[in-house]
Amino acid sequence: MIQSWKNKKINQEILGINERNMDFVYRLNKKEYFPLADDKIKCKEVLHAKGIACAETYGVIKKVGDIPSAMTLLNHHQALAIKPANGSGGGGILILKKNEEGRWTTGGSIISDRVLFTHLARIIMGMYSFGSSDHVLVEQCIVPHPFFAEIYPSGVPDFRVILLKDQPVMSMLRVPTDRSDGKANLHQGGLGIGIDMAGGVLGQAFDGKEYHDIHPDNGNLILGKKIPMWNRLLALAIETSVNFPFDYLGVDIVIDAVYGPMIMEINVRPGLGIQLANKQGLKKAFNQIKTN
Amino acid sequence: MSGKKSYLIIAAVLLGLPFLISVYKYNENSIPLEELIPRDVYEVELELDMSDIPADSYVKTYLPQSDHRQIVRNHSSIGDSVEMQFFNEPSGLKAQWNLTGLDEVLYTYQYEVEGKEVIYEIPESSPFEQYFDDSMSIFLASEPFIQSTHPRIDALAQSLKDEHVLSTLQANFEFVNQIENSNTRVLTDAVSVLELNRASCNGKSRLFTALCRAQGIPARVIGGTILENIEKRTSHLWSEAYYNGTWIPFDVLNKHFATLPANYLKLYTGDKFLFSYNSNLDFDYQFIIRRKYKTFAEAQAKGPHLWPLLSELQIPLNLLRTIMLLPLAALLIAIFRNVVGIKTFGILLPALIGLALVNVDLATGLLAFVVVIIVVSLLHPLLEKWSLLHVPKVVIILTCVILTLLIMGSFGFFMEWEIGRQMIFLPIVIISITAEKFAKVLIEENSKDAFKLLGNTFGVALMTCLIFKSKVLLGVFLTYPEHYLTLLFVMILLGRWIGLRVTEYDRFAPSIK
Repeated sequence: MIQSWKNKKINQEILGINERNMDFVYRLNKKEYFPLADDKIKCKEVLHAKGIACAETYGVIKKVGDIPSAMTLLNHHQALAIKPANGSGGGGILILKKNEEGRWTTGGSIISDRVLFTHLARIIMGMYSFGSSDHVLVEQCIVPHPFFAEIYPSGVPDFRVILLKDQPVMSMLRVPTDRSDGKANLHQGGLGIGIDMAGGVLGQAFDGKEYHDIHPDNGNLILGKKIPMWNRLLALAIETSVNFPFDYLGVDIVIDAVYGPMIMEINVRPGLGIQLANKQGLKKAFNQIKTN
Repeated sequence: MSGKKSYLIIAAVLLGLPFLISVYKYNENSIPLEELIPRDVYEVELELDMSDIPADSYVKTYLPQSDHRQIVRNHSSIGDSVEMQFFNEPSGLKAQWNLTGLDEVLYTYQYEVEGKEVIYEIPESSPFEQYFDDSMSIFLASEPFIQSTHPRIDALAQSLKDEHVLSTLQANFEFVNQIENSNTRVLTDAVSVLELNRASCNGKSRLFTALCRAQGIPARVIGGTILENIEKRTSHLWSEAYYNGTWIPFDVLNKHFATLPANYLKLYTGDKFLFSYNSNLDFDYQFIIRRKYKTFAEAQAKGPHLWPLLSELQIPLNLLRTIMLLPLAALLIAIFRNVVGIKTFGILLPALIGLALVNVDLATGLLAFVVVIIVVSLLHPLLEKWSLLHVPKVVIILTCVILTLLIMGSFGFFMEWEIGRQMIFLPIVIISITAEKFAKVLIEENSKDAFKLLGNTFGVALMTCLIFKSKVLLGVFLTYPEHYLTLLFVMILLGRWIGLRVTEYDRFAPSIK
């Protein structure tokens, strides 16, 4: 720690939480608009209204009393994702798929109607949103592009793009690991992979301690892989940023096997771990944008 | 931008104003730091009530004197004017009121006492002293009510006697302590205590004294009263034993071994009576005791200060210090979060835990937290497995925390640990919240993160606890309340500070290699 303290580079290039909050999150974004990002349902309303590619919304459940009728309606679908509108860190997200007998399964095992009902009720009661009541968002289940299986076969990897005044500044790909339990978040044990923005090429993967050229669980090559549809992905990120009233924004994007890049969610307080994935400070990246 | 720059002007005022006020105060009168500490001061009124007074009547009593444990000052008399004489006797300062020619008298003698707790050290290896000065002989001899040569006392004393003075005193203390307590105000002599196996303070102190004397340790009975915020008609007796040139106090009844709390007022030495008066006098008395907080600082403080909160409004010290020092504790937490980058459960939870630990013994408080956290951590996965809804789950956890504390309290009481009584004073809701947050992180993140957060939370909590416990800091803010503005100044600077947090240097070190 003392070593890095003396290093001037860290002070000049790395963006810390204090500075991020004061000079970016709260200076460039108006607080009154935060719910557009924090509430997944409000966010999707804007996305749908502007025709921005994102998962189709199957339904919204606002009251416990509405759960039975909603469950009947949802039975028409073959697969779906259930999310708390105001959840964080992937808590409360449930992916459901029908088996051959037409019963809902999650993670390969059958889920009873009673358990499903309880889960939906728990979301509404605020289990995943710090105790305040919440709504359930039910949407289309993303099928990851085959590109991701070349790196890691399960879970849904996603891209995070940070934009400053509608310009993409830095991005990374988040990939699950064996210990991250299907989740791709850095602090939950996922990998953060840096991206060369100009060419859409993957860099090294950071696992919280060290950098790897390959996926540490299976040895699949990561470094140098070309991301499919990268320009469409970047264009989608910019389109999203333009249509939301935020000047500092993190956009989460997945690539669906059929529909291509889709917005998963947007974040007005994007985490700072992206600097570790890219071995580059955000402050330096912001300055480069300004000089261009 | 100009709107945001206005903080600079405000900050300058917040820094300059308290500085100027303090310079003024300091020039008027500089008060040494140790004098800022609020101390318990008791105002004692001894009220004497006499009616139908026969001729040649008198009342005598002992008045307290200053010594190394207590300072007695501001003596004054209120009420009817009575002729008063003082006698300096070996047993203490005696006052005598001559009531001749008076029919009815209501008289109050008033003084102020500031005591301090003194703890005496007796070394483990403490051989019996063989030779004493002649003046000590009376403290080794038998007395009418302290029958140290009585066969029963002597036999008991020899059986309790050990190689060292310390272990002998401990044995005596233990023996007298296990005798059943009573509230009797009747004089009980040492031998009767053994026969009845029941005694109040006067019997227990006599028996303890007699045992010491029989073993060759000079000892004496001390008369006084315990200062508390009440009106009372009782005095108190305890003992002193002589070792290595020092008289060391022992109050067996209230379990004070070689120590006395600050609120013990010594009035006289030896097996005497507090009052003496002619037998045909209709006499009554009471002590009216009021606790006040006073220091040198209050009288000396110039300019605006907050001492009247303690001395006039009489806000309890424990309450006042938690209120007045909370801004400082919160600022400490803010510095830990934003400058050091230490994450804790909740933002102000460490301060609440600190508050929870202020009024209990630290070890007891921490033990309670540890046990509760273990219980909740075992309980939480079960409640999760049952998929219980959040609010009922919180209520279940709260109830189990209370049950845990009650069981610990009862067990402590059964084992005669002090811990038993303290459990009740712990803020249960704060303990529940802490335990629940820990259990949640334990499940949702991992055990390493959970223990790290818990350790951080308690580390910061202990530091806030030290702030809350500091009487010097309380004295500083009572005397110089303008420095709340200084705190605000620091807080504004902190709010505008955008440097990397100390822990971020470590976190981002890999990215600049």
